[in-house]
Amino acid sequence: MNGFQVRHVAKDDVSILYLSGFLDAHTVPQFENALEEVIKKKRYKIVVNFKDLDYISSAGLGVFMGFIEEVRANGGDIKLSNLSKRVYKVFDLLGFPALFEIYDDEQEACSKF
Amino acid sequence: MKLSYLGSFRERHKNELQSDELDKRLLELSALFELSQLLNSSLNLKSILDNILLIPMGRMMLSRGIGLLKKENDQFKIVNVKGVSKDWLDKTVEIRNFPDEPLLVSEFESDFKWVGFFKELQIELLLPLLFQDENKGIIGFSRKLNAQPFTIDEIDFLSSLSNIAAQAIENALMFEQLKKLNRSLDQKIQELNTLFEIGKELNQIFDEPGVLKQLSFSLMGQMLVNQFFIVLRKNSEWQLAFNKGSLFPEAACKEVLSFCDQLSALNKPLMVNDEPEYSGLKELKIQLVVPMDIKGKVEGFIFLGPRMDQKPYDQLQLEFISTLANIAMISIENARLIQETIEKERLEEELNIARSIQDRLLPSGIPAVTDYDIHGLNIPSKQVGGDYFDIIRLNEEEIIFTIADVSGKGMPAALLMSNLQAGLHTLCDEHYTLAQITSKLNQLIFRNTSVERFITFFILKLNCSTGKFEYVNAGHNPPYILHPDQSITELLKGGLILGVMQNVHYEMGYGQFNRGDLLLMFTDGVTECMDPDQNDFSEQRVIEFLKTHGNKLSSKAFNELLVERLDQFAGGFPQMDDITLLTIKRL
Repeated sequence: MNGFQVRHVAKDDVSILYLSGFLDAHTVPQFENALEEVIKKKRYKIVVNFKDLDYISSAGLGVFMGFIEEVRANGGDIKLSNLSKRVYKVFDLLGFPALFEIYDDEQEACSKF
Repeated sequence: MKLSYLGSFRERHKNELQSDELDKRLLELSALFELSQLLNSSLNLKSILDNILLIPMGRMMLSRGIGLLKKENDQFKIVNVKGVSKDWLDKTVEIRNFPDEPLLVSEFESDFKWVGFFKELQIELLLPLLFQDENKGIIGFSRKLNAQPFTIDEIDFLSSLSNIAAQAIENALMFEQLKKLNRSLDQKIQELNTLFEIGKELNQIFDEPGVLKQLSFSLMGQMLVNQFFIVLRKNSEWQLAFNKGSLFPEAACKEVLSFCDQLSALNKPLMVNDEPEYSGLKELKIQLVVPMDIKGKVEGFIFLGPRMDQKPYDQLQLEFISTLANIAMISIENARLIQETIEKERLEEELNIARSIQDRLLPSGIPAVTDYDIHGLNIPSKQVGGDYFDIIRLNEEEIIFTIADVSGKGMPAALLMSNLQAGLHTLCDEHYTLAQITSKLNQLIFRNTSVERFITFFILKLNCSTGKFEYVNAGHNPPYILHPDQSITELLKGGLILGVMQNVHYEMGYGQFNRGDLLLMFTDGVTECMDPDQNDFSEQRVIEFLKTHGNKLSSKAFNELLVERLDQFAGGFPQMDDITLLTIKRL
């Protein structure tokens, strides 16, 4: 089974999280911890780069929902970038594009803060 | 390509193409061909609707165009306008008895309301979009800008065009419907995947917080909601188990607990509506209540606030969330059972340890003493009662016998007993009197335990050659001495139980142990042994037993028979306490 990895890179005041592998119910706690770490440091401008993510399930999307309120309440946002077609389809099916900003590339996402 | 087709057509029919009229006709034909290719290669409804208005408008200098599609009955929806106010878009017009052929509004005599509507919009020519003889819609155009009437050829041309368009529109509509169907299918698949995934994942999670966390992720991801909380029934009380989102701080959630009994009659999700009985829930901004069912009984609820996209909950999603809730409930129940089993195993393990501690503290063998028959036994209860007896040989002449009962059960009792044993053995080595030893043990136990822990304790020192003995009884069941004449002496002298007061003075008792005497020490497991009717075995039965059998049996046989008698008395009723006997006979 494909593992899941998340890597945090700080670019100025924007935190970029690079996801790779499978984000499903099993690996969700890992991603949750990574986001929690970032938010604990009061870094509320977050871009999640999906370039190397092969799969996301509803539980994976749940993590975004779980944090977005706190992040926005602190004047930040979670923006998404570099979604593969397959990953985008899940976001689209569940109605996420109405709630989250989704960009083709990371640079663009960063520039929207 | 179309131009070259037109070019080659001209080339081949050069001679026939003499009049402008024909030339124009040819152009029209080629335009139709072009359009039909364009329209049929597109599945984009908007672009088709645009083309069927714009192409004629451009060719014939028409300033207004309108497109309508038939909905149910005779309702036609305005789906495209050119040169007409956009306000008309999406409006519905009732159009009855529309003919199957083009019509000119100014020449159409009838009092249908819709005729007036088109007149008002200055639409002159109306063409039905016929597909398989069925009216799928209507396109309409204004008069020409040059005020010339539409010629038959022009109407023919537009009529052909609308027939081609009808086919294309039908295709595009089909395609859109298919897309919609596909999407809802994909959504269903996504739901199923989520259920499958969480089912698989929950099988590996055996703690309630873990289950609730997984449930919350699936809920948030699939339902677009991050305002919710979960209530579970624990020990027949409703308790808040999880809450998420700023709408539902703990205090708000707890207000709902009082509704739960009433809601437990639910057998499917409840959409909170304006009915007065739900006003309490509505005030708390709860929009959906999902019962969590296990074996037909509601054991929990998910209360959901508004979705993040502010859309209402979809009836179709309720099935999903209900299944999700029930899967989670089963896992929570399993987690509870597993915790219980683990707890039970842990207790069992602890008791085993306690039992082995107790076992090791009891004397490993009975010393052989000339002229004396000594036997001790301990039958630990399931809970390990904390009974203790000991035989300590001080020198050739003197032996100490002791029996004790530590309050409480299991590990704490075993540890306290171990304390007592260590203290006793240390103190016996010094030259203290029994009263001093008991007093020091009392202090030791008092220091090392809380007030509710205590020990009943009896200690006796026997001079084997003379038969003289002294003893201290610190609140223990008084041992009995049975004399050959069947009389009984109780050994009562002493003082308070060990461990409840810091400084206690203990009195010593003295006596003489003669040939034929039997000394029986026992714990309250004997006197408080219970029959199925909850009657105690009691001191009286002990004395009766002692009198009946004491003179006839060896210490070992006496003890074993007493245990047998107790078993009979209990009649299989499980005993809560250890049974300990220490019997000494002087031969």
